[in-house]
Amino acid sequence: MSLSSFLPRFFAPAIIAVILGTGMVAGSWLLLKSELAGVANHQNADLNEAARATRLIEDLLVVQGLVAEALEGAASGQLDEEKVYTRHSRVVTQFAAMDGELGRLINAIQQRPDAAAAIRAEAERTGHAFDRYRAVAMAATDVAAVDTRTARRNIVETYRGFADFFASARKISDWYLSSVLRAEVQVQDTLDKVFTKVAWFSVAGIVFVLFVVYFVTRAQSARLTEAYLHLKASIAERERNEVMLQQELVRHEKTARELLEARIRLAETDRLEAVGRLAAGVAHEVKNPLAIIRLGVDHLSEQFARESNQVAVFDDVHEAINRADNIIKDLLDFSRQKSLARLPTRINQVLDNAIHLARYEIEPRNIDIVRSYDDSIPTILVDPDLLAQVFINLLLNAAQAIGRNGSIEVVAHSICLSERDLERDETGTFRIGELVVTAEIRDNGSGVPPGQEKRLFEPFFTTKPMGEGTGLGLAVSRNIVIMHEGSIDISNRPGGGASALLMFRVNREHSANEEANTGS
Amino acid sequence: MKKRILVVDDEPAFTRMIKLTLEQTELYEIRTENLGRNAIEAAREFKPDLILLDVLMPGMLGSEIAAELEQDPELSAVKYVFLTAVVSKGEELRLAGHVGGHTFVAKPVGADELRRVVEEQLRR
Repeated sequence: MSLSSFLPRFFAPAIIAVILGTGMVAGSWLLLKSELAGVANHQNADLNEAARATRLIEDLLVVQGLVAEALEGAASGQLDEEKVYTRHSRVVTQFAAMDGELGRLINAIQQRPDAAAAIRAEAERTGHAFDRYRAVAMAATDVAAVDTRTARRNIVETYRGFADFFASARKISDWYLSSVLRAEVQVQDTLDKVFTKVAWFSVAGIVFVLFVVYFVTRAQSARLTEAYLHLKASIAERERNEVMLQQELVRHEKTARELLEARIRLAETDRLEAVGRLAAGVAHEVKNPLAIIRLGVDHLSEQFARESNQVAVFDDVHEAINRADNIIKDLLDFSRQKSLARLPTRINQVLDNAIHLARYEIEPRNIDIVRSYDDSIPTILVDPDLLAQVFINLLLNAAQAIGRNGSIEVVAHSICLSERDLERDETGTFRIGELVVTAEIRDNGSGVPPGQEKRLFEPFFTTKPMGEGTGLGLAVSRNIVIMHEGSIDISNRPGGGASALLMFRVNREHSANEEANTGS
Repeated sequence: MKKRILVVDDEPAFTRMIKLTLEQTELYEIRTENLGRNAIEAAREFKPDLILLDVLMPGMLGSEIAAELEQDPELSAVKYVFLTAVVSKGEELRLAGHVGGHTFVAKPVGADELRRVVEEQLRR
């Protein structure tokens, strides 16, 4: 996951959470603000009401004082009509002043939801009493203007019933005040509740934001960890791939090299095939006359053998016929890519057989053959006759390189290939650690002329004196070895002479079967 | 009584040489034939004990002649020795003178070997 795709994924949910949380907090505070405004209005109104009720009560007290004073003065005769009347005038004025306020109070009580039926009735009674007494008071005033004595008596009479009015007026005023104050307490409660609500909303908003941010962060952190691990794994993967690529490259280079070599060999094969077709024709056309010559010469030599000075002539002709025959037979061998008749074979037996067949060439030259075989060499799947042909060829080459008086060592082993052994794997067939059977023919002859090792296997290349070799023996041998997926290498030995080393793969499956069979 | 040998090869000089070589032993009566297609008639008429037969001849292969003669009950006891020019050293080694139950001799063959092989075959 790249950084550019990761950041929006991380920030988008976090930003949404912050916006939601902020919205919740801001919303609850706006709610609080509007509630507060309502409450403030309520409070103002309540305080106003309370003040008015208080003032009304004070007014009532004043009127009550005035009335009491007037009644007492009239009863004791301490106040003359004049003074009673003055007080009465003030009561009337005060009544006029209270008129609106008291009516309003009574109305307000009727409106209040907490007003019980009794208090409503009380308020109504108070209103009626007030109206009645105000009317009486007004009438008393009108009378007083005509007759002071009557007036005084009327006033006193009027005032006698006032005590009840004051009591009930006081009662409803007090109730109203306490009702307003109770309402105020309720408003305070409501306010407290609103505060609590807002506080909870804020806390919930903050907690919500924190939770969302926490989970988003945690999820993102998990994703980040995952991305990190993924990145680490892909880096490791890439490194592995690079190593593999490198190995693949090396392999490819090797394959390309092998392909090139194969192509060269193929071109060579094409050429040799043409030679092969030619050889078959030549063999037929040349060998028939040779056959006539051979029998003819044999006949003549039998006729003239007694004339001993002619024997050498016949021997020379024989030799010449053999040479010509050998060249053609080699040519035929070289040109025929025969199919193999593979059999489980002990290389020791093939070597012994080859030595036996080559003994007529080797023994007259006074050459010793020293055999050195491992006893425990596993069998290999090869064509024993073709391999014998190869070994005969190599033995004859060794004998010719020695000339006279020398020794040929024939060595056979089975080994697990080391890197050093691969230096002599001329065909590049083997790998380190493979189990192979090796056969080596060492001589103490003249060795390979310097720089000629590579050319030994070329067809028609020969280091032998004119007439001794056809130049095809090693080319044929090499073909046979390659058909067996083996290798052949000829090189000079450090102490002089040459060594021909052949290697053949041991088929483990086959040798395991062999062992099982011989064991049972 | 001399053993009868029929020699079939398209080279008259070669059949002459073989006749010469084998007659020298004074053990065999030799007849030669240079045309493959005449060989069958010659065999029926001559009734040989052994036929020396060239493999590659114009007109008819040695192996075809042998196959046809083997069908003839009167000639069922005849021995065959094939002569071939096209044999390699490896084949010589591997086949050791025998192919498909028949004996063969690679050209050029020496007089001694020829006599030895013929004698061996007739003794069997």
